[in-house]
Parts: sequence; C-alpha cells; structure tokens
Amino acid sequence: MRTTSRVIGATKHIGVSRKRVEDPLMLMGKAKFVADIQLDGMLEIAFLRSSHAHAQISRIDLEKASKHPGCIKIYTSADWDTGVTTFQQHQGNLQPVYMPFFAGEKVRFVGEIIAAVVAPSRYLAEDIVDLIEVDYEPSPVNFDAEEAMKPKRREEELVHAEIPGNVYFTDRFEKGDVAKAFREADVVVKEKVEAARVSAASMETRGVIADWAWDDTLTVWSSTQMPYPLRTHIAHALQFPEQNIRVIALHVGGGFGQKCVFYPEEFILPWIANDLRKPVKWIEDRREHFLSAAHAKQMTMHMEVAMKKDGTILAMKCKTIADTGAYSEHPFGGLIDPCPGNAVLPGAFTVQNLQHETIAVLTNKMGIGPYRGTGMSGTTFAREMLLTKAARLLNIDIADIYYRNFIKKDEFPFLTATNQTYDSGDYHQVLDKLLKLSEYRKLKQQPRSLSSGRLRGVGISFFVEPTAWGSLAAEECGVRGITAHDTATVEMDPSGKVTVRSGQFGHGQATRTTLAQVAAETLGVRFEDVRVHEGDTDRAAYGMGTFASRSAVIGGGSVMRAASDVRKKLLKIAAHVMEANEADLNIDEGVVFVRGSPDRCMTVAELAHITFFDRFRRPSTDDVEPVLSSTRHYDPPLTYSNGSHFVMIELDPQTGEIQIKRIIAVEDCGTVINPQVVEGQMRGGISQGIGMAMLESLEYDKNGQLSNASFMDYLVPNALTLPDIECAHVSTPSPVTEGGIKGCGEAAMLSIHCAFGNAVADALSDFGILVPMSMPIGPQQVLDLIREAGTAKQ
Amino acid sequence: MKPPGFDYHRAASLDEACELLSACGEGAKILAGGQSLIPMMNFRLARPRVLIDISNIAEPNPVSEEPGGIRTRATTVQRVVENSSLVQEKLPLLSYAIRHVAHTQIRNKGTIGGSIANADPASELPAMCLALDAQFELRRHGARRTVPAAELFVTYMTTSLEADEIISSILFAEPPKRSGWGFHELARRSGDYALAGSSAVITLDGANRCTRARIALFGVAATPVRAITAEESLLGQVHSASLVKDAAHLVQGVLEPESDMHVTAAYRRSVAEVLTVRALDDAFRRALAAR
Amino acid sequence: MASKVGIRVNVNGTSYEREVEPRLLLSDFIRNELRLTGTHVGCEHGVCGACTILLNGHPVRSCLTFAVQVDGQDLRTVESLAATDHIDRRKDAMGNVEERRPSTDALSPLQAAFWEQQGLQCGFCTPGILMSMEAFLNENPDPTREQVRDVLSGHICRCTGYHDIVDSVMAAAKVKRALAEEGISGRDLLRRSYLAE
Ligand SMILES: Cc1cc2nc3c(=O)[nH]c(=O)nc-3n(C[C@H](O)[C@H](O)[C@H](O)COP(=O)(O)OP(=O)(O)OC[C@H]3O[C@@H](n4cnc5c(N)ncnc54)[C@H](O)[C@@H]3O)c2cc1C
Ligand code: FES
Ligand code: FES
Repeated sequence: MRTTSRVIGATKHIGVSRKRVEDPLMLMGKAKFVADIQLDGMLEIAFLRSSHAHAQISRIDLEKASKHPGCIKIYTSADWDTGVTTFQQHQGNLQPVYMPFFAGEKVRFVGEIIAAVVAPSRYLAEDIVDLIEVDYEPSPVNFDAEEAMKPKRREEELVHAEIPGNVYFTDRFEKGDVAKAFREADVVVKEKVEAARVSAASMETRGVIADWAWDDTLTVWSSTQMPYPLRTHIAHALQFPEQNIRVIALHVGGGFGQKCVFYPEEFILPWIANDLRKPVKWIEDRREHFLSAAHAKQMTMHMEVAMKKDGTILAMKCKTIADTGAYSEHPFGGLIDPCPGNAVLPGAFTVQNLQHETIAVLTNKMGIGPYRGTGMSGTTFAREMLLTKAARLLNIDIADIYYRNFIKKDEFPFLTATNQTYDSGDYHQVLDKLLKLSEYRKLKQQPRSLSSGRLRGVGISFFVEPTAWGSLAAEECGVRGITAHDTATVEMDPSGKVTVRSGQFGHGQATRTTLAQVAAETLGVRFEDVRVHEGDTDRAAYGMGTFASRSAVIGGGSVMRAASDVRKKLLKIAAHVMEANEADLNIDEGVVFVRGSPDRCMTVAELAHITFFDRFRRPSTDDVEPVLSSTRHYDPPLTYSNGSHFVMIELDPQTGEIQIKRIIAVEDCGTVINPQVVEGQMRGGISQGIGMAMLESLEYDKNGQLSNASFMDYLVPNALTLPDIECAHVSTPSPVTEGGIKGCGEAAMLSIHCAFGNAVADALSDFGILVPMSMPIGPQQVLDLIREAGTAKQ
Repeated sequence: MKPPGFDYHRAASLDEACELLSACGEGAKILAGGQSLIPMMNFRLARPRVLIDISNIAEPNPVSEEPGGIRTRATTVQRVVENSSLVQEKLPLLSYAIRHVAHTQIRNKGTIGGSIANADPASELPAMCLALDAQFELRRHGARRTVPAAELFVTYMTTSLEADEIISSILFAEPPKRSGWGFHELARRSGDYALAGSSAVITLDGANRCTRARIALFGVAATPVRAITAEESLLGQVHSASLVKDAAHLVQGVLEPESDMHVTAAYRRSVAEVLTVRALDDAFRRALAAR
Repeated sequence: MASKVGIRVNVNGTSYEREVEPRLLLSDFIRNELRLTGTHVGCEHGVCGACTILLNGHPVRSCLTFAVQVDGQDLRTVESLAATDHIDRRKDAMGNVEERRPSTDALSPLQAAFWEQQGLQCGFCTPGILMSMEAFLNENPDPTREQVRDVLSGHICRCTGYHDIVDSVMAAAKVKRALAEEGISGRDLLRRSYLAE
C-alpha cells in the first residue's frame, strides 16, 4: 500500500462550470454532423413534395423523369404503401390518425412527400424531381382551425375522411367550483388570445443516411433527439429485427423538440437502402425544413380569469383550440401543445377553481410537434396577458398580484388546480431578487415617455416549469400515454477509467459534460477519467433521448444511481484489499482512503486492476462479483423549476418599432450541475422566446401555401435583436429527485414572451389599457394597438 | 436547394462581357456578386441558361473623384464603397445607407451595380441613386449611353436596361456646399430589407433657406421614388417643425405601397411619412451645421 | 448538362485542382470535393452565415458563390484556425479521431475563448462565426460589444442567445491584444497567458 498525504474533499464536480468536453471538436470543424458523413457508393435523395395543400392526386407521370440519365430510381406510394398511426395509448377519446410515408391518392399539406428520387448527387436528384409531372384536383383547404371545426357537408372537405369535423381529440377538466367563483368575482377578464405557428428552425436541418449492409444489418444516421426510440420504430415499420439496427446521431445541430418526431424520411431512407442495397443520403434543405419539419405552438385560447378587488385570483377558464396541422406527428401527436398548455395554467398560484377544455383540430398545414415550452408558451401568454389586463383594471401592479397569489414556501408539496404536485420552491425569494436587480418598482414610478420620443416599458413574468419528463411528468402534463423513463450504465474498466452509457442525447446541452460531472462526483474519480457515450445505439444505453428539460434530472439521476452502485462495489473490494472497515472508506480524485488517516490509501486504478486480474487479492467472487458496472433505471417524479424574467423595452409610438434594452432572468432549478451550462440554456431559451414574442410566425395563405419558407422571411432573432442577458440564481434543491436536480431547458419559453408582452402594455399605458392579445408583437401589431385606443376614445 | 445547370463564361473585361452577352442571346445573364442571383437560383426561381461572370474583372479606380461627383465602377463591392474615405467624406449619405444593406459578409461580395440592376424597390442603393442624382453609364456590345437615375427603374425588379446591356459605372453627384443629409429606415431586424425607408438631402443658402431638396423613398412603391412635390414645398423656406411635417405629408402622393406578411400598405404609408420627417430634420440639422 | 471547368484554388495553404460543374456551390465544393466538412450549410440562401469562409481574407457566404468563380483565389475555412496537423497525424495512426478526446492545446486564441466562455452549444453555427470574427478582430483589435454584435448579426445562432458569443469574442480580443503587445507568438505561451486571465 502506497502512502501519500493529500487534501481531502478538494474536488467538487457538481456545481462547477466545467468547460464542455464537446466543444474542441466543434471549434476545430472536426465534429461530424449527419451531412458530413460520406460513405463509399452513397447515393443522394431528393423528394418531390406536394405543391397543393389539399388535393386528390389524379396522375403521377414519371416517364420524363426516369429517362434522365442520372436517374437511378424513383419511389412513390405505388412502391411502398405504408405509414404510421398516432402512437398514443391510454389517451382518452383520441382518434388515431394515419400518416402515409408517401402520399397516395391524396395530399394534405404543402410539402407532403409524393416521390423520392435517387441519383448520384443532390443536384441531379433535384433536376429529376423537376421533371416529374403530377396532376392535382384541388379540394377546399382547411386553413383556419375554428373554421375547420365547423360541420362539413362533403367528405372531400375533411382532412381525413375518417375523422368527422376535423377534430381528433377533445378533453374537459374542471376542479373546484368555477361557476361560483365567477359569480363572486369583482373583475372578470375575458379574451381571445392567439399564439402564432412557429418553427424551432434549428441551424442544422434534418438529415438521414441509411446503409443496409450485406450481412443484413442496417445503420441509420439521423439528426434526431431520440436515437433509441427511433430504432424501435424503424424496426416496427420495416418489420426488421431491432437488434440488427444501429441508429447513430453523433452530433446534432440543435433540436429544441423538433427532432423529437419520427419523420417519414427516417423510414423511407432505410427502406430504400434495403431495396437498392446502397447507402443513401438525404439532407433536408431549409425550404423543406420550413415546409415539413414539425411546426409548433399555434393555438387559440378563449380564456377568462375571475378576480377579487385585492388581486386574488378566484378562478380561470380556458378553452384551447390547437391547430395541429394535417397529421398527428409521430409519436407525441398534436396533443403536445394543448395538453401540457392547459396543465400549466395555474402557474405559481394557489387558485383552486379551474376549468379547461382541449380541442385538437386537423388543418391542411404541416403537423405540429414539440418545441421548447410546447403549448405552455401559448397558455402562459394567455394567462399573463389577462392578468396584465386585470392588474391594470384593478390598479394593482402585476408584481403584487403575483405576491398575493403565490404558493408559499412552506406550502410544498402543493397540489395545483390541475393536479400537478409541485415539490418545492421559494417564489417570493425569486421575485424579490428580480425586482431588486431590475429596480422594477423605481422604474414603474418614472414616466414612460423619454426625451427621444420613445416610450419605455418594463415587464415581468413568473413561471413554474414542469421538468424531468418521465412517465409521471407526461401524465401530469396531460399526455398520459407516454412512457419516458431512462437508463444509464456506468462501467469501470481495469485501468480504473469510467465509461458512462446514457440514453440521453445532447445536441447543445452538453450532456456529455454534465453526466461526466455527475459520475465523477458520485464515484469520486477525476472528471477527465469519465467518458460518456450517447447518441449511438451500439454504444449507449436504451433511453428516450433528450427533450422536455429531462436530461439533467433523468440522465443525471440514472447515472447517479448506477455510479453509486459501482462505488459501493468498489468500496467493498477496497475494504477487503485494504483491510479496512467499508464504512470508513471514502473516494476522492480517484483515490480510496481511510477516513481520518488519509495516508492509508490506494488508487482506484490499482483497485480496478486487482478486481479484474488479481484473484489472490480481491475478495472471493462468491462474495463480490468482479464486475465494476451497473445499469440503472430512473423514472423520477415530476419536479418543478421556477423563475422570473424582466424585460425593459423602448417603443417608438410612431413606427411601432421595439428595441429591447435589458433582460434579466432569475431561475431556481434546484441543484445546479454546471452553472455555465444552465446559463447557456437560460440565454438560449430567452432568445427563442423573444423570437416567438416579436418576430416569428409561419404564415400560410388561404390556399395553404406557406408564404415564408425561408430565413429571409421567417425571422429569428439576430445579435442586434437582443441585448446582453443577465442571469441570477436561487437554489431550492428538489426533495424528490436524485441529487435535488431540477430541469431548466424550457423555462424562458414559458415566461420571457409574457414579460415582453407585459412591457409592451406598460410602454403603451399612457394611451390607455392596451394589452397585446396575440403573438408575435411586431411593429404592425403595436400600431394597431395604438390605433385601437384612438378609435376607442372617439 | 441546388441551382439548375448553366453554361459559364468568365469575362476578363466589361467589353468582353458585353460581347458575350450579345453573342449568347436570350437566357444569358450577368453574374456579379451573386448575392441576389444565386439565392434565386438555389430556390430554382431563376434559371439562366448562361452566366457571364464579371466578378473577377479587375478594374482600376473602383471609386474615383470626378468633376461633379464620385464615380464607382459597377463591379465594386458594396463594402469597398462603404469604407472608401472618399465616399465617407464627400457622400456620407451613401456610406451610411450601404451599412443598412444586409450584413458585412454579404456586402463583401455584393456589388453596387448588382444591387442597382436588381432594382428591388426595398433596396437602399437604388433610392440613393435618386437622392444623389446618379447617372448610369451603360454599355452594350459596340455602344454606350448615359441614363439618369430617374429613367432606370421601371417597376418591381425591372430596369430599362436592354437584355444585352450592362451597367458599367455610376456617377453620384456630390451635393452642393451647405448640404445636409438624413436617412431613416425601418426593418424587422437589422440587415433585413426595409419595410419602408426615406432619405433626404437639403441645401441651404446664407439665410438658411432651402435652395435644393431631394427626398427619395424605398420599400413603398414598385420602384424607389422621389417625392418631387414635397421637395418643391421646401424651396425658399427655413426649417420648422410644421414645414417638415407638411412636406413629409406630401410624399403620400408618390406612394403605392403593398401589404405583405410583415406589415400592411397603410402601415407603410404612415411610417414612410414619419421616416421622412426624421430624415428631413436630420438633413436640415446637418446642413445648418455645415459651413 | 454544362461541361466541367478546371479550377485551382488555395485552401488553408494547400493548393487544389479540380474539375467542377459550373453550378457547384462553393460550399458543396469545400465540403464534398475537398472533404473539409467544418464549413456548414444551414440555409443556402445567404441568411444564416453557417457557411461563411474567408475569400482573400474577407468573410463571405460560400453558399452564394460558385466554385468556378474562385479559380485562382485564396480561401480559409475553420479547419485553418487550430494547429491540427498532429491531430490529423494521430487520426491516421488511431483510426477515427471522433473516438478520442481531442488534444486542445492547438486551439487558436479565438477558439480557446469560445471554449472558455461557452460561445457555442450545438456548434453548428460556430465555424461560420469563427471565420467572421477571425477577420473582424484583425481589422478591429479593440472592438466594443456593439461592434461585435453588428458583425455577429450576419449569423444566426439558435442556441446561445448570442450573449456568450459576444463574451467569447471580447475575451479573445483582449488576449490577442495582450499577446500582440508583448510580441508573444508561441502556442504554449498563448495558452498559458490566456489561462492566467
Ligand atoms: C441575406 C441577404 C440580405 C440582403 N439584404 C439586403 C438589404 O437589406 N438591402 C439590399 O439592398 N439588398 C440586400 N440584399 C441583396 C444584396 O444587396 C445584393 O448584393 C445585391 O442586391 C445584388 O448585387 P450582386 O452584385 O450580388 O448582384 P447579382 O446577384 O450577381 O446580380 C443581381 C442581378 O443584377 C444583374 N446584374 C448584376 N450586375 C450587373 C451589371 N453590372 N449590369 C447589369 N446587370 C447586372 C444580374 O444579372 C442579376 O439579374 C441581401 C442579400 C442577402 C443574401
Ligand atoms: S448556408 Fe450560406 S448563409 Fe446559410
Ligand atoms: S450553437 Fe447551436 S446554432 Fe449556434
């Protein structure tokens, strides 16, 4: 036994801003995204997509196209007439919606796949696509959700003949005595609130490569957030043994939920690879991306809030109509917006009377899927704009409405009006901190009008974010059919180095870094000695992937469990080898030592070596098996983060232009694994939230054509849209999750847009009570609001 | 989004480009910076049969001073003009306006001539041609002519250039002494095409009366437009809030805005007027300060 | 189909000769023909900036340029920033470089600053931004945050909210200035002084 003197407990891995292990490769341009992969003999695919929103296809003529010298093969529904049906078990009255991979007799949105052309290059493939002739017989287009719900006379008006009324899911919920609360209210605010259709528009578009080897193994590279479930679904759709499939997502250039959908291309490519026995590649271009990568968040909310004079919220009612597009995207379907949206209506408030209604409507547009904050972005906006209006009517600052209605820190666990169980938090402290940092009260006292002629407005918003999407979380968010646990394997090799295999899959969230931090801390080894595998089904562990603010909690939790198993095992062996009492041993920095006499120590490497190779020194294998690995599962209870945002704007009342001058975010996401990573998530979410609040909207015209299928017209924030973003933290560790971790990924999308709307209302307060009731809020909307005030006065 | 095929010719001089353009006939197009043409081709909205590349023609004096103004070669990239000390000194309006064209990375490639020939009504440069009394030197195989700015822009993305004609250079007139300028545009984000924009050049006499005025707007009609009635209303007048307000109101006469997914025609009308007030105020202020 | 045209370009100090179809975009040329896949493609219509490279020292969109147009010219891509020769060597020796934790002492001050300040998340927009900033910091070694934002506005990043990128560029500018003042050039010194910050 070697003796060294050392400082004990000097290393901490959790709570430290470790530089991200992911970064150097990416900084050097060496990271491989799916488009970067080249295989020998690989062919490229371009799709012919429908140019009509709703039509019967009467003829597809491939004659000219197939004569093109570069044409290898063209596939249509005539070759593979298969699809998927909404994958949701146990979900109330949900009617299954069938989505074919290739549109057959009918197209239902602009961008739907009609044919796949295989050619030696993408350039040639697109030339050939241009030569395919399709005759369409247009049907009436279901353009507006509320119109689409009205009774239809003819079957051809329906998006899906088997779904009458274009409505495929409804739900109603009530708790408390809502009617009574409304009768007794001093103020009732009732509004129709609209959230626009947006796209996550990750910088890397989607892309798939499929390679079917002669030994009948299939390798699929895809820009997906959920490699393992994709493998399962490919196996199912292709009727092919799952163990022969490997799905790889090495680096993914952003997902934000949009890549949590199984798209037709992810099934078509493997199928074609099988047919041709050649590797095939398809990289989505930006136009295809806007047309055919899941859209999100389009909802209309008819909302009412009942309040007492003192600002107490008595009850809320919300009827949420989701425009879910032509198909229920696989696997979450169109429920992913309205259900969680309604579930988070109570927010941070004690209100116990609540009624909500969900209606999921089919229209002739691209389907909707998850996107950071899912439908919660819409309903929080509705709630906050109604509260903003109520605050003005009652002449109470919205901050005081928050304080009056907050759940207090000694009231946890708290069962909300929508039956979510909040685990912990200290909302007062968070809001105190925000108000102080922003000098909110002082700013509110000052005049709106600045010497430049601009109007200054300040806004705040408070959110509670359900995080850790396990099965329970899904259920508490109204998506009952989802099973979303995860597993992780932690292995120590003979050299004492550690491999973590995780079912999470980071694509910007730095899970390779944070999970290594968790493993290092739990095991007591050096951070550098841990390597995390993810995103490759041959090397990682079955898991659902990364989405819905779940990775830190579930990934972290399962790694923590597995790592502590390995630690226990190692300590048992160490106790035997070192002839010490197991309870007296500790591990730090890769060294096992006896508490109180730190010079009695051995390195983890020595012990691992003994475990694997030295049968004379290790304990009897009947006592302790010489396996230093563990696979553990974690499906945590839901844990709720919270936080608050402050926005200061300057608004030009003559042009409607808005400049954002200051943004502050305070967040409580429990135990923070890596503060820098958390702040990155906060800032990134704020950027997307501001985009949704002031810029982003996918505009379909009455014919179902998407008018802005490019980055030229679909506007996302750039570096001059946003100011610096100040972050601050409060930490109340979760009492219910491993390590007290809470998620943080989506927070801003439940709140920043509300603070922004609130700031707009504040800036316009000299004109009267003007509260924006739709997003995005661009210059046109601002001038419309002001004009509205003008006409109201006359 | 891959461009369709075409035949490629690289011209060594503008003369050669003219020759090629007339020889190749219909379907042949000039390729300058490519910053408008190539995106159109990538979307397959443009399918030229032949491209004649003028982006590598090395011309002497990309920006030079002449009696009466500053001449820029059409092939000069926007960034060079923006940063030219000559332009910054003599035509600060032009330099300032160019900074609103897209982003530096685009302006490093996009040319002055390309932007003008592209004739997007929301573009800054065509409007600057109106505000700065530009003269275009046009060339075709064996012929040259000079056209004033007012005659070039026909309608939405259409100029009076013949199919085989090339813009070879642009002469921007230097405003007289005691002139000032103003430029205001509104875009959804910095770098985007303007929703509406207005610019003004004002010249004053010793008694601070306006002797010459130019008001040019963009993004508010099918072409960039000059508001001549509004200009005339300023002549002989000294600056006042009501003068500027009334003049700006007169721009309404030349506006024919359209609605799009961002804003309505009515919005463009009202904002064009607001921006004109600001541009005029700035121009008067600068002219007053000028010696 | 139009016939191919021979071109010769200098990329990151290496001269390449290829026959290309005129319509081949420079971005595809760099990525597919030269296999330098660090240059990314995010829109192919000039807005996102992921494909930005240096053409004769100036940042431009490689998706809005045909490869034939740059015959005889000088290009730099993200692969030129770090001293990666030894990584390439190691890659040959060990197979897939992906499998190994990269050695990071080769990062340039700009790259190191991005790493330090978390100037990236998914990393897809990063190569283009690095190239714009590489040129920008040469032009303007002591920029304000607003000036950095102005250049950065020619790029879209969907992950970071830009703040951390601005921090990274400011930090890199500071280090580069300090190094220039002291006339230090060796990579080790570079890194050491940076880490001492
Ligand atoms: C993301 C993005 C944002 C942009 N934002 C703006 C903006 O805000 N404001 C703005 O004004 N522009 C904007 N642009 C367009 C940009 O300014 C272009 O550079 C410019 O419009 C065209 O110049 P070019 O040299 O690239 O021309 P090209 O694209 O090469 O050519 C454009 C057209 O002009 C013709 N042409 C070119 N040169 C000549 C010539 N000398 N004689 C005759 N015909 C010629 C071509 O045949 C072609 O039809 C933007 C572009 C992009 C990609
Ligand atoms: S790919 Fe070139 S700018 Fe987006
Ligand atoms: S880091 Fe993901 S887009 Fe910038």
